[in-house]
Amino acid sequence: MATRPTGIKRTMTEVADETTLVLEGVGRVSRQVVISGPLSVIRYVGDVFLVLIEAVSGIRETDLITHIRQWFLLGVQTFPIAGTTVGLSSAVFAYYTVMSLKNYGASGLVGGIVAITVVRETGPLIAAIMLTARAGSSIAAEIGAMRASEQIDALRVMGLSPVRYLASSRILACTLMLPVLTVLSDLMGVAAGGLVASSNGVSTQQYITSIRNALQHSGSDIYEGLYKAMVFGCIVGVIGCNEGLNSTGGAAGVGASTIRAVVLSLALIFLADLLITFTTNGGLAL
Amino acid sequence: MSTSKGVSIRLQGIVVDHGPLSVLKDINLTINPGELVCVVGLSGCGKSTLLKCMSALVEPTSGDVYIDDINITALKESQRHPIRARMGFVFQYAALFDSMSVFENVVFGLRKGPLRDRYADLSRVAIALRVTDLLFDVGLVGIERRMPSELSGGMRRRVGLARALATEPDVILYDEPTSGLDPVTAAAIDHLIVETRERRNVTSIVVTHDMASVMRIADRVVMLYGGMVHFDGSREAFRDSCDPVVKQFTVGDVTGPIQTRMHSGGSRNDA
Repeated sequence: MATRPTGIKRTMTEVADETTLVLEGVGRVSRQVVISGPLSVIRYVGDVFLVLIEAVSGIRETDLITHIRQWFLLGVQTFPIAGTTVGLSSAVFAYYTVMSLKNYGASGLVGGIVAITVVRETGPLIAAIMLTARAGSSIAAEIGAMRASEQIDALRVMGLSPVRYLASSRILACTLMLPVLTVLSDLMGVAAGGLVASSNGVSTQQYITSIRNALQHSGSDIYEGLYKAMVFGCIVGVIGCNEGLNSTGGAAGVGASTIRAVVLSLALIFLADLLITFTTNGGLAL
Repeated sequence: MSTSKGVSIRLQGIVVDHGPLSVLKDINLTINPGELVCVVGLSGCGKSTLLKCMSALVEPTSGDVYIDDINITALKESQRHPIRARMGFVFQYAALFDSMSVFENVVFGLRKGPLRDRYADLSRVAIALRVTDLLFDVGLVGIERRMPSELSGGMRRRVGLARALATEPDVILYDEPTSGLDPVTAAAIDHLIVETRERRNVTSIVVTHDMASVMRIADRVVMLYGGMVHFDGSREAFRDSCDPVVKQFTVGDVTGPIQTRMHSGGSRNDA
């Protein structure tokens, strides 16, 4: 564009044109933010629920061997990393807690504090994060690669629903296996906390007694953790499957859908954690 | 092996747009039961998209696809499954299931999906024999236990063909079944396509670039150009056509009405 000689003012028409362009830009962005953004969110949520409903209705059609294979691949193989991370984080948590409580002469309470935190929060949450990292990404990548290589089309042309055939067993495996992982990870976490506590002057008897006193005898602490784990597992499974099934653009698209599956699953897990914690414990006024 | 009564396929005003790019523009085509039609055209002209429209794997932007007078574009996805189960699709890159052996790939359609009840009475031995026969027909022996990753591209494609034939479909859609194969194997696959049609009266649509193959097998040739049906007639009429586009395509000449440079915003053969 040629530069205007200095001293020449812009004409009214040029000013009006520029204003129109700016307003058009603002309008476009506003439309994107106000209308297209929420609409695409609603569409995505609708797609996810449709996948979930179809997958649930297809669970009985999937044979037991396929289910067991998925339980093993997604659940059993995730346990070492989930158990280890929950154990390590619990050890650190127990260390800080016991050091703080020592100042008040209440280090004997560490067992209860660790147990409640692990069982209700860090156990299911960290296990879910590990399931997302290991299984959610693998589900999205595997199904995305199947889509890129037309294997999904091959299923459809043989009269099979890819959601029922592929997603049902994976979503069920994530939903059922994460509570199991959580229980095992909780045990690792409480045990690791116990080791740290005992090395800081808290006897095993004190640690166990504190746990017994702190945890609800009705089991509600454990149930809340397991309920969270089921919801988190379902989120990991359904988001992984949905992203894989909707993957486009070949190998690069598979990578992008895998990243989306992980990021979205983690965001939804934290959101669900907040909602479940507040709804099961009496809301924000708690 | 049962004889099919054949299936008619009718495409009515099919338009497929991919964003700003119009791949197919108003395709009208009727394929009669038992007919063997070769669909030819330049790379990227929409041949594979046309094939996927016929099986409702691609939703047309507008237009209808009728399979035996059933408008499958108007059906829900779940309602399409039994219709698709009557089809065999030989994918361009085979689309074998990576996690399954060759044997499991070929028997997949017999054990899963809407047709599993039809083959429920078959014993394991009968199924194993059937798989061996199908693989033998496509020129493969003793590879049942191998995984797809252990096969060459040509072998994968032939396993894909065996898988498509396994369920005795009424219509088979072949997406470049002989590309990348040596001339002898390509001729054998062509022979199998013709034999399958003659033995079972299967409606067969073959997308191909291979002119030798077209001249060997086609009852009828449909040429796509500029997203539309440019030629529709017998293979002899196709071979002898004086139409400059058809002539350039069959001869493989660089000069002529067909543009050989790709450009964005439209297929390269936009008329």
